Amino acid sequence: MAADNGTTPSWLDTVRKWERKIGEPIEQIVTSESFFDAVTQMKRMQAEIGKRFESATEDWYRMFNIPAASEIRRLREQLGRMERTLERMVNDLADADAEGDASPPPPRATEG
Amino acid sequence: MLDSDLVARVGKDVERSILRARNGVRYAAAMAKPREGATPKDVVWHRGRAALWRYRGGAIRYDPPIVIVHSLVSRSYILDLRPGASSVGFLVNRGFDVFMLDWGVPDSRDAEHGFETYVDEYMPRALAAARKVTGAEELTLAGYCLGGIVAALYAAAYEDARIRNLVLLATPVDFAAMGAMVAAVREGRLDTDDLLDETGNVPAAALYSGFYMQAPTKEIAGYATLLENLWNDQFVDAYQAMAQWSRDHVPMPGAATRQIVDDLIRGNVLMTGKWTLGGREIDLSRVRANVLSAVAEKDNVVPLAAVRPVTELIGAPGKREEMLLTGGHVTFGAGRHAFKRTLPALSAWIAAHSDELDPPKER
Repeated sequence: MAADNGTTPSWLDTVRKWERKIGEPIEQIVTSESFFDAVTQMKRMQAEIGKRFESATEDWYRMFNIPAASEIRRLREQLGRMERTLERMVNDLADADAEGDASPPPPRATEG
Repeated sequence: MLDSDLVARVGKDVERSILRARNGVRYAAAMAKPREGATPKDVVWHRGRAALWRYRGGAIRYDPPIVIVHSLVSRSYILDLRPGASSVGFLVNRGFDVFMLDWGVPDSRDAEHGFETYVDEYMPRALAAARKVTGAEELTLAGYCLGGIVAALYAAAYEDARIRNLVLLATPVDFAAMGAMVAAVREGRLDTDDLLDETGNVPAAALYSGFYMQAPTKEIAGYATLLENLWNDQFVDAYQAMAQWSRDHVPMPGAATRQIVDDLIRGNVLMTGKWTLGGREIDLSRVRANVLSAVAEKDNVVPLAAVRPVTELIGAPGKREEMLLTGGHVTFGAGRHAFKRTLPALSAWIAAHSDELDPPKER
């Protein structure tokens, strides 16, 4: 399996050549403008389908008293806002404790 | 009678097969473990998920200390990958006092962090902490990739920044030249809101797929090379460290992503030399430090053309230099290749722009 004379064994050379043979055209496709246009369309379609599915199933979840995906998302967003507020308060307290020795100098106003 | 060469070859193949099996199991097990840097360090400051580390080492031969400002999208252990191939370790062994400003793993609490948060809230406090523990007046700032933008903005925004040297490693300024890396979010394509999850950040997996899609079949050749060298402990260690890091991205805060997409990519605002952040205009030409832009000739993440205008825009004319280094976006600054080729050049530039301490100072 191994080439002892420091050269690349033929099987590895073959794999590398084959990888480049298929890799180069694939790279050309996935870095092309049309690929990114297609990705945009797909991503938007995926989001739209997700939204429609969510709104179609929302009432069913509620009927069984189960939170819908949109409600869980809203809850997580609300939790995120709360955590951010809490952290701001913690940071403000830490800054006050530091008695200003690590506080930032005032921003420089640029001309014009 | 068997030829003795043949016996030796069979013996070697059997030995390597055993080593391959052992290293294969070891490789699979270690990939699941979280990785940390190789050089011993102390936390000297932290705020939220961000932390400033000071690396331990021998006597300090140069002043000012170096503060590395890491990128916002990747893990900082790439610069401290493993013993014998750590960029940080290299600098420490050369006698520099090295700090790393690591942004941690952003979560929902960081979703509203824009560039002004890093420039006005984190940088001044972290650098004040570095000054306090070292007693140093000035600092050398070394920003990697997007960390370079943060470092340059800080150095330009503050009259009293006291930055002697600003080293920008693969730091993009011309986003029109960024090519496929940013093509998905150009005008008319995906907007920031299309990328954010419920934490308000771009998930790490989305960032990974952006890098992976640049060369989706390259892994095949990589795995084949690994299989061939699986008997070799050193090769496996190096391969594993790099492979693990390349998959180990961190979420990108939503507000910073919005600024990157709207201002940097769609507006290409850094090419004007100015950026309005936090209600005031930051003029990049007002950086007073010596500026070194280190560019990698085979960088396929931040192409040469995206970095080259640094020497026209950041800092004062006459105090800007460019250093063209071999390697790619990562290998020019990290790993064995950097250790042998690029880090000696970078550290020599920093040493030439620093004061040599005689006698050296104990940490």
